[in-house]
Amino acid sequence: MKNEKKLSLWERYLTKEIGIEFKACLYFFAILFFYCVYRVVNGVYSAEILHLAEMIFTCYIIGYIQVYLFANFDEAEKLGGREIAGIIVCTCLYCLVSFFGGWFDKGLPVTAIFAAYLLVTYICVFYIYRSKRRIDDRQLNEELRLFQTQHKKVHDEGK
Amino acid sequence: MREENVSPQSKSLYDPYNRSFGAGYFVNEGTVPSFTFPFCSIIGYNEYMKIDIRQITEGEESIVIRYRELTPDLGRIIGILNDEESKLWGKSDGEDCSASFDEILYLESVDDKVFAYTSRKVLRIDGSLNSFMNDVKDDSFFRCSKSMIINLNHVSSLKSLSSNRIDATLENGEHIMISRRYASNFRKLLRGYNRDEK
Repeated sequence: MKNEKKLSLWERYLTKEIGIEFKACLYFFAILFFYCVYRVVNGVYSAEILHLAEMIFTCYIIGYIQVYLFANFDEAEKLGGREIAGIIVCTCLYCLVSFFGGWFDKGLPVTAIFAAYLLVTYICVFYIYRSKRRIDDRQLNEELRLFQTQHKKVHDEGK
Repeated sequence: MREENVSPQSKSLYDPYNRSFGAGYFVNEGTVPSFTFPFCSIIGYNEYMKIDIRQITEGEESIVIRYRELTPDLGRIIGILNDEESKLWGKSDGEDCSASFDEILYLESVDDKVFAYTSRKVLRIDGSLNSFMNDVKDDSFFRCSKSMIINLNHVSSLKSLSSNRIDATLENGEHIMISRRYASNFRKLLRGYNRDEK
């Protein structure tokens, strides 16, 4: 029993950790895309390894902030005050790191566009998760109806 | 009954505490008859009753119940012998009462006490959620969290939530959360059952 409880805690931690890793990858790719477009537009066809390392670490740390401080706002049921505050705070954090890390050559207009890009990304991710859940709802309810019908049939046959 | 074939282990029991005569059934384990409880027992019995269990090797098997008054406990035993529809026995407002398994919406464990909820009443039952799940071989009962068992036949709709949790709305409008830990087994149950039946 004791072991079961320990395993469950470990499993819970691991599930949360995998969720954060997944988030870090998702936002890293989104930022990397913006970074690559910025570089290409400026005629630079190489990426700085230091910038990439900064990006992945920032995404990982902000992933923790999203999950533990802002109750996983991109997977929330609705966009309330707390969720919007989370989106704004995390966007500001990304912008600060990008500015001081020199990802976009410390240009204020590009950083502002980057902020808008991140806001759109967060909102898109929120709606993607929500529509995924809606599809899942439909599937679950179909399976439930089928289960109830089949169970009733089996139950009636057994009588 | 032919008394000469009564096994030496057979014995007349007299339960001084009157606790062992309840919603159970007799089982022959080897040669010694024993008495086991399925998932609930009766506590408190106002008068003593002689319990006579004998193992025979020949002759017709029989069960004779002699009583002065038909109590709910006896009704329960007679119900088991008559192979009536399975019922869950417990206490509601201090009185013994029963509910058919089909009626149960969900079971909840609160402070080590187990309650079964139907649309009309709440039964306090003995045992634990684990013992209920072990005794009731019905797929429609699903352990949806540490402290709850849900009857899927009374679920009107399901809603997928974040972190892989599922919100189940019952026919009476109550919401029950299927925690992340149990949600994957819940999905497997629905899919597996439907696949098996196809």
